[in-house]
Amino acid sequence: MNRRLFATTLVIVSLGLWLSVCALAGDNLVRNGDLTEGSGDTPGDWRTTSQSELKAGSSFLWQHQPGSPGELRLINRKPDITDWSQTVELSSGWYFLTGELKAAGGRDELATMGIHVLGHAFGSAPLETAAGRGQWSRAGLYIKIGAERRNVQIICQLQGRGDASFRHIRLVAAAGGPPLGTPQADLTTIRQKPIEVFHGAQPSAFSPPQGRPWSIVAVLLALMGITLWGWIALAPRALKQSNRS
Amino acid sequence: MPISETGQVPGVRPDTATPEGFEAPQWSRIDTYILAVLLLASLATRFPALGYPPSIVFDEWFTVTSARLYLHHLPNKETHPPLAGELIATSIALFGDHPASWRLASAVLGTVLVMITYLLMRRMFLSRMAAALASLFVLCDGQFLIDSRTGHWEIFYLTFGAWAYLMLFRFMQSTDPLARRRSLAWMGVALGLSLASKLGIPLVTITLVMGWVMFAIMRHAPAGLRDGDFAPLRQIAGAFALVGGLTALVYLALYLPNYWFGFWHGVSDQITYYRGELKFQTSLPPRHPQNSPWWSWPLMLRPIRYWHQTDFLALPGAEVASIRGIGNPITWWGLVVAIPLVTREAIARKNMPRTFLVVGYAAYLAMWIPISRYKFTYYYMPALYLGFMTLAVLLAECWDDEARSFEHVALLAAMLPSMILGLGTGPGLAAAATTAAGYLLSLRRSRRYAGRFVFACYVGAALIAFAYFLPVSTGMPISPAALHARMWMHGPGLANWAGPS
Repeated sequence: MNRRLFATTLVIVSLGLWLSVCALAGDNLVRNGDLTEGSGDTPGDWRTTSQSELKAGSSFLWQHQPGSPGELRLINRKPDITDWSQTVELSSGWYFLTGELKAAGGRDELATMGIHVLGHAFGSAPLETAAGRGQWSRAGLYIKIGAERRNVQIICQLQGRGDASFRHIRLVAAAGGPPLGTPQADLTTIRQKPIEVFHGAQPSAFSPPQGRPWSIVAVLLALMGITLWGWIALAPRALKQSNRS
Repeated sequence: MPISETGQVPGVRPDTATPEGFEAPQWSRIDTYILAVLLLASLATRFPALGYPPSIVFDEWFTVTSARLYLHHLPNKETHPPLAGELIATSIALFGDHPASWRLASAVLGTVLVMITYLLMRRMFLSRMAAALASLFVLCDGQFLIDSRTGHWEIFYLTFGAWAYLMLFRFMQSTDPLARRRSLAWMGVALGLSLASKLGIPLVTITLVMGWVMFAIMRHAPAGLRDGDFAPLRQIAGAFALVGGLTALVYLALYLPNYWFGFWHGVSDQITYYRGELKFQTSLPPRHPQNSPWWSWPLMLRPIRYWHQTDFLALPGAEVASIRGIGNPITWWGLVVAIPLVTREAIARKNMPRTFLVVGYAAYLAMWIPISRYKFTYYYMPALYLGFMTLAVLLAECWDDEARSFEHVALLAAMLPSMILGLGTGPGLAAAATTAAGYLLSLRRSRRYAGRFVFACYVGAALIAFAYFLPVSTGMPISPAALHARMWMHGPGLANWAGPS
């Protein structure tokens, strides 16, 4: 009996512990957040953008070793705003975006993680102070989504001239709101843009053709004839004859 | 009356009383230098960083989509005629599918437009000053700059339309029948290209140009031949056949890919397409987030937001990048005054080129009055182009001491809104008072000085305004505060430069 009670208690405690760990860890909603997957020089699910036409002066690097987490790196040799980004769809609730970043460059550089939503931008705040310039530091941002589902763009960004790296990018569902004073992105206050429907924008076929091919040839020939008549009618000799008549 | 031995058209004579518009200008080395400077300035503003923004801007979605589908021999039932898409497709085929390729044709045509403006104004008014000023106004306008740096339709039909105007005045100023005929032929080609660039608007260009061709032929007919004589009628019929035939030929020829790829088999398919487009256009609603009524365009109440990228506003040093169709307020609001003043002159002096400008300006605006669908501020561009010319003529008169004092005052008064909105009420009124004091001091010396003072104020202010708004014409990243400062109107109603949220 005691053995059965002990086994039952052990199962319950183990289950509780496992659930707690799961709740604490959460599923990472950022695809390829540990940056292990990809092909060639491109990490899977991430794309690059450059704010200016200075792309030649910027490098987008994916640094990784097989079997271990990778890093996203941005190098701006000229002032620019460059991003690694991916879009995730989130339903109602609180979320917590975290990651590690380090920056090495001039004073005019600014490395940050954050989100873009409908033209609005929110940056993460440091969760701990970096040990020094060029050292890894953690940053985080709480995100609140209202009743409507939202497409949220996760951004790892470098502004200015410099060198920045990002790793361990995680977005997990949070049990509740952030502690008082913690930066948060409350997307419930951002109105969804009205969808501007531009009819005719989509590539589309014409009505099934029913015309007769000779008709376009005839029209072109007729127009050539009219043009030629106009050319001849304005010839000096023709004008002279019409004046005499 | 027979044609003379020298090949003169009957009755054609230099009009010494009002040579403007009828007398060809004498080209000199100074013109070449001015044109070279304008070319360099156009290249410097139209071409650098053409691939920026590195994404589709506003209606490039339509033109670039058309171009890509042409290259893949796929149909695209596009509202607008095919020339812009075809030129972009050519550029993509030659240089690859990237943003700079999409915009190359626009940059070339935007540069050519500045050159054509100089040549046209030299022919119309014989004045280097007026020609250089009009070109400068086109060069230094944000709306024209945006359309020269993005793949939209406007710069295509405007440039070909301006070429048609140039051929019109070449035709009117030539006494050689062969040269006149060649001018008409080139006019037909230019009008065909313009018509194949944008739906509807070039029809006004054709009407305007052909109306003036008819006027020129009738005017040159000797008095005795004007009534009931065959020669002018034959000339008019010949001119209409030559220009109209070539216009239609060029227009149809640019649709030939649709026949070649098998989307259309015969003319009836093209007519079916027009019927569908007419039905579609008339079904468009009057409301749109960026809609503006035609009467608001000269006041620039609601410029279009072409592109917008926001960055981390919460962080210090963060920047925003935005392209807004904000024209040069100095010249836009200046021509609100210039148009009535030049209209008055056109009537009083029976001056042909001035009449051409004001009639054209009114026609391009009036065409929108009966159209109920939503409209955008950039539809104003063909009227604006002629408006820049009227302002240039008036300012050249100020320079040459031909303008009256009330015209000086009216022109300076038109700068007041820019001063107040740009500098704030207090500093703006102070700037206005300083300007007024400067004008009165100049006037005390002589009216000539006063005219040159007005001229200098306009040119200086137009250049400053161009430089100030350059970040929002090109999408240069600037701070949110700097962007906000440039949004001179942000009311809840129509007068809103910030655009829809």
